[in-house]
Amino acid sequence: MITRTDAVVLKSMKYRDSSKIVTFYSRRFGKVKGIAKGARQMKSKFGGSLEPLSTVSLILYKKDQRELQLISQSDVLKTYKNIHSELERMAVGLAIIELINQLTHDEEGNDALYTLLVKSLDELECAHKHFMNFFLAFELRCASVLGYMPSLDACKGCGRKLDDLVAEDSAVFQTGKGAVLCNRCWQPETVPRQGVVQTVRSGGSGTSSDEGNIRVSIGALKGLQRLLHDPLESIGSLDLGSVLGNEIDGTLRLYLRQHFEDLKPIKSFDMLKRFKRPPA
Amino acid sequence: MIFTAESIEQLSEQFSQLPGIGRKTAHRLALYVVKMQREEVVSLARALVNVKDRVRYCTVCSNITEADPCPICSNTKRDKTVVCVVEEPTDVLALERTNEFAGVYHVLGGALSPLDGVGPEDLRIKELLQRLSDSTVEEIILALNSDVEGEATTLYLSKLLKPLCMKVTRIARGLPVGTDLEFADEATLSRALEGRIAV
Repeated sequence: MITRTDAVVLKSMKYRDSSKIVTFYSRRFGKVKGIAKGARQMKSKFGGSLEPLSTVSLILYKKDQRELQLISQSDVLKTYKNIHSELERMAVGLAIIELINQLTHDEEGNDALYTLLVKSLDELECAHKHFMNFFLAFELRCASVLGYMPSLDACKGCGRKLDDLVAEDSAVFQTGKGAVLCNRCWQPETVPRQGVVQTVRSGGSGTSSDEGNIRVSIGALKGLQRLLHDPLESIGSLDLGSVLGNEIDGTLRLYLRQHFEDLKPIKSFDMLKRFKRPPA
Repeated sequence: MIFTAESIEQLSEQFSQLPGIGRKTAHRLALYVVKMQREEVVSLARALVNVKDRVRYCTVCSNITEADPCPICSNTKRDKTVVCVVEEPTDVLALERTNEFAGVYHVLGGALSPLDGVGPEDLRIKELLQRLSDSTVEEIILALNSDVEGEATTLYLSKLLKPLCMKVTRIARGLPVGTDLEFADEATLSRALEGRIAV
């Protein structure tokens, strides 16, 4: 079947002397792998369209029983010039496509996820600062689109709004249930012995909890709430600061790991930290 | 396919470890070696061992060479004030074929690849900085591939090198010579427009 679809290039690897094997996230078919013959030749018709972070319109020779589809044509829709010209912005963009590559399975189309992906890259391209927020927002929203939206607005036990919990300084976030419990509703004696509440405030992304119940500051919960619900256009103006940013990152990492067991560390995200260090 | 001769099987196994060579090609090559003259086989074997024994990395530019420093670094006619940074030794060969560049090179041994976890410490960036700290280099030319990895490396290096108060340039990106504008893809064409020069 010859078919056309819009897609974002997630990964591109060299194959033999002149070809490329490319992984896309497409609007119609979800994640698809394809081979572009001769794509590495200087005068290839594919040009630079098959580089990661490009949004393209693809023509595929698609066979259902085939794992690797044949790419016949690829026209660039968006090239994201700013993302390609700033290291931090590029690392965030690559982290976004790396995450979607990890969280999705082959050929499971999801229009909402595709729209979120393109919108996130569009806004990252236009943003002036706080690029990291786009990755955190994407993690949260991607999990939500895939059916794991956390409930961050109020305590699950008593229904008190997050704003009313400010005096309590922190609350318990149940990563398994994606729910918040205030200190009044949190009853440690009802939790099995191994369910020790852990604090991620200083731990960053490396912490874990047996039961997935973690103590999170109200500030971080409010930050998560805004990353989830604020329009993506305004995410770049949200100044989380490094302490709150690390706490949110650690919380999100635990939350995602709870629901996506196969999730590996996001290399591009770690690379961002390595880029900031002088070479050893 | 199982051969009756174990030595052919072993040779075929060795060939199949080379990049781009599958099992069938490996068998075909092994059978071809059987048909070769003994002197040709000895010469092939000697060439393989020689490559391994003699070739090393130049301590100045990290290019592959038999003599250290390499012929380019030890050539007094080359302009040592201009250093061209490339990813692989094959890129040096490509640039040398142009007969346009009279400076010297620095081979990084790859490019930063955030998606594959290749970071600055995996490349010969430290050696480049060391080289620049005690020499009279005036210009650094970043001649890296025009893919995401090359772009990331260019951005990283330019950030690192600019404070050293030397001219940092990158090679132009755009249309290959001999192509028609109407067939150029949007990404290439927009880079070509971006890098336009006054005539």
